[in-house]
Amino acid sequence: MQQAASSILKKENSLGWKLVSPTVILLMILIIYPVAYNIYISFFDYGITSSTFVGLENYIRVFKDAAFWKSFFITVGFTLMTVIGSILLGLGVALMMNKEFKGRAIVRTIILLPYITPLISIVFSWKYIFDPSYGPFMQLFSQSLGWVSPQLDLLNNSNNAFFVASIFNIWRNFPFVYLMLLSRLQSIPDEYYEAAEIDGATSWNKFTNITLPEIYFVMGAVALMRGIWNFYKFDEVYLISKRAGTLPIFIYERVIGTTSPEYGVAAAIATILMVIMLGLITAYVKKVLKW
Amino acid sequence: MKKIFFVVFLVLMLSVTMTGKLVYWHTQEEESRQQIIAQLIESFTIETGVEVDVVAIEENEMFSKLAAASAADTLPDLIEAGAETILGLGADGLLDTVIPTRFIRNAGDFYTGATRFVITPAGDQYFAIPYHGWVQGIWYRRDWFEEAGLAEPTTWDAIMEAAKYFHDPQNGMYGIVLGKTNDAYAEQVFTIFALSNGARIFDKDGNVVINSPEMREVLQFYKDLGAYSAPGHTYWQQARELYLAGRTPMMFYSTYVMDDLALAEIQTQFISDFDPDLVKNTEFAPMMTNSRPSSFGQVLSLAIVKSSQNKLDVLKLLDFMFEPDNYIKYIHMAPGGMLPTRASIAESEEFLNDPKGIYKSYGAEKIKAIIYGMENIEKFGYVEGRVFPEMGKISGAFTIGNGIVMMFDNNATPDQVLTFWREDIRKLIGR
Repeated sequence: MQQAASSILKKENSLGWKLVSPTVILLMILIIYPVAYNIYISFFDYGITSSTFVGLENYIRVFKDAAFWKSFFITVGFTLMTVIGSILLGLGVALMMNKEFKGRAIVRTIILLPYITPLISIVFSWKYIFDPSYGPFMQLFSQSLGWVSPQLDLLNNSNNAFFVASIFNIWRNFPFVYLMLLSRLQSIPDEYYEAAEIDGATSWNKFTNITLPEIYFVMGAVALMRGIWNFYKFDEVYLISKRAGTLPIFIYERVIGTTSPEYGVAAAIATILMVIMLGLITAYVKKVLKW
Repeated sequence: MKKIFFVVFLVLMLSVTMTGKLVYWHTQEEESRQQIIAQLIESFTIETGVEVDVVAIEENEMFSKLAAASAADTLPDLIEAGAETILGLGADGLLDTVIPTRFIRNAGDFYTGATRFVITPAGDQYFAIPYHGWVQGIWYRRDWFEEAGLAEPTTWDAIMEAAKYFHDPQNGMYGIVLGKTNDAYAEQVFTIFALSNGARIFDKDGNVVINSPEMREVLQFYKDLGAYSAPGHTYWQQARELYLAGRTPMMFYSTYVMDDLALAEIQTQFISDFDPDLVKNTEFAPMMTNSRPSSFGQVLSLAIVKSSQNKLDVLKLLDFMFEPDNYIKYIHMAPGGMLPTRASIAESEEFLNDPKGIYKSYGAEKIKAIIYGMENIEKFGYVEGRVFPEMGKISGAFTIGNGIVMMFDNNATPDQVLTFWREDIRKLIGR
C-alpha cells in the first residue's frame, strides 16, 4: 500500500516537472541566460574590434565614478517620489471614487485615460504643450500673462527635468494604483464602518483603523511593484526628457549614441543594480509584506 | 563514410561562404528612402545575382550596433556613414583602405573637398568613398532683411544686429534659432562660429588647443546671441518650424531644407498654409566670417569593413551604385540634402532635373554654387590637411553640446565651459 502511494507520488512529481519544464526552459533562455551573460561581460572591456578580460576593473571604475553616484541618488529620489506620489494620489482618488455619486462610471473611465493611452501620444502632447517656442502653456503664461520667463524650458532644462519626469510618471501611473486600491476598498464590508460609527468614530478614525489596515497589503504590494518598475524605468523618462539623469539613461548613454560603447561598464552597473534591488526587495518583502 | 561526410561538409561550408549575402548598413531611416534603396538593390540582384541584406541604422547607434555585431561575428560588409563615424571606425582599424583608395583614384573626378574627409591620417589612402553630402549655413528671409536695410548675415556683427532687430518674443518672433541642446546639431552650429574665429580643438600637431582666447570669445558671442534665440533646448526641428511659420528671420540648416522651402506637400506638414514665395524670399549664406571665412557641412561615405569575406561582391555593388543612372536615382531621394561628390554627376543635366523640380525652382546656378560650397567645408577633426580621428569620439560623446547646455541651463561662464571641455576631452582621448 505504502509502495503504491510512493509510486503515485513519484509519478505526480515527474508530471509536475514535465508541466513546468517549458516555463523553466523559457525562463532559462529569456532571463537566466541574459543575466548570466551580462555578469560575464561585466568582467571584460568590450570594444568593436576586441574584448579583453579586465577582472573587477569595470566595477572599480563604476564605484569611483561620481557621475554614477549622482545618477544613482537621482534614481532613488525619482523612485521614492513617484511611488509615494502615485500612491497618495491613487489612494485619494480611490477613496473619492468609492463613494456613490452621479456620473461616477464616466469619471472612473476618464481617470484611467493617462494609463491606457499609448505612451508616445502622451509624450508628444506634453512636449507640444510645454514647448517654449510654440507650446500653448508658454503662449498663455509667458506671452499673454507674463507670469513666467519666456526662456523657461520645463521639459529639457536639466534643473527641472527630474521634477517634470517625476510628475509625468505620477500622473501617468496613479490610475494603476487607484484601480488596485479601489478594488480592495470595494470588498471592505460596510458593517465595519457602521459598527465604528455606532462607537462614535470620526472619519479619520475610520480611515486609520479600518480602511488603512484593510488595504495595507495591497498598497504594500503595489508600492513594491511600482518601486521595481520605476527604479528601472527608461521609456517614460527618456521620452519626456533625456536630461532627467536617472540610471537607466546613464547606462543607455554608456552604450548607445556614443562612439566608444562601454558594454563592460554598462554590464557592471546593471549587475550592481540587480544586487542592490534584490537586497532591497528581500528586506521589503520580509518587513513590509511580512511574507 | 568519414570521407563522404567530410566532402559534404566542405561543399556545404563552401556554398555558404560563396553564396553569403552582402550586408549593407546605411543611415537613411525614412521609409520613402528605404523603398528607393530597396528598388536599387533589387535591380542590382537581378543584374548580378548577388543578394544583399539592407539594414537601416540610426547613425547615433552605429558604434554600439557595430560592437554588438562584432561580438556576434555578424559585421556588415558595407557601411554608409558620416565623416566623424568613418574616422572613428577607421581609427579602430575596422575599415578596408585598399578598395576605396583604388576606387577614388580610378574614378578621377571626386571633389577634393569631399575626399579629404575620408583620407587616412597618413594622407596616402582613403577610409571610404564619398557618396553624397550637404552644406550647412544660415537660411534667411532676404525680403525682410532688404526691407529693414540689414546686411546679409555672413559676419558676426551682421548676425547679431539682425537678431536684435527682429527679436520680439512677446509677439512670438525670435531673432535667430541656435543649437542649444547636447546633440550633433548644436556642435554643427557652434563649429561654424568657432572656425570663423580661428578657434579649433586641435592644432596641426594634434595638441588640444580648445582652451584658447579665440574659443572663449566664440563662447561669449554664442551666449550673447542666445539671448535673441528661440527659448529652450532648441535644435533643427524648432529651427525649421519657426522659420517656415515666419517666426524667425534666420535659421541654421543644411541643404536638406530645400524641399521643405519649395514643396507645398512637405511645408504643410509643419504649417497650415503653403507660402509659394518662400523659396524666392529665402537666401542661403553658407559662409560665415569673423576673423576668417568658414563653412560647415557633412559628407556621407561608403566604407568597406576590413573583415568582409565578400569584397568582390562589394566592389560590384559599389560599381552599381556609382553608375550615373543609379547614383542620380539615389541622390534624388533628398534633393538638396544629397549633393553629388563627383563632378561628372554634378554637371549633368539629369542630376539637375529631379522628379519634383526642386533644383529647377532654385535655379541651376544656385545649385552649382551650393555644390561647389562643399569644397570649403571645414570641421574640427581636419587641420591644414591633417586628420584627427579622435574628433569622432568627442562628437560621439556630445562634448560640445554638453558645454553649450551648461552655458544656457546653468549660466556657466565661457571659462567654466572651457574647463569642462578640456577635462572631458582628456577623459575621452587621453590627452
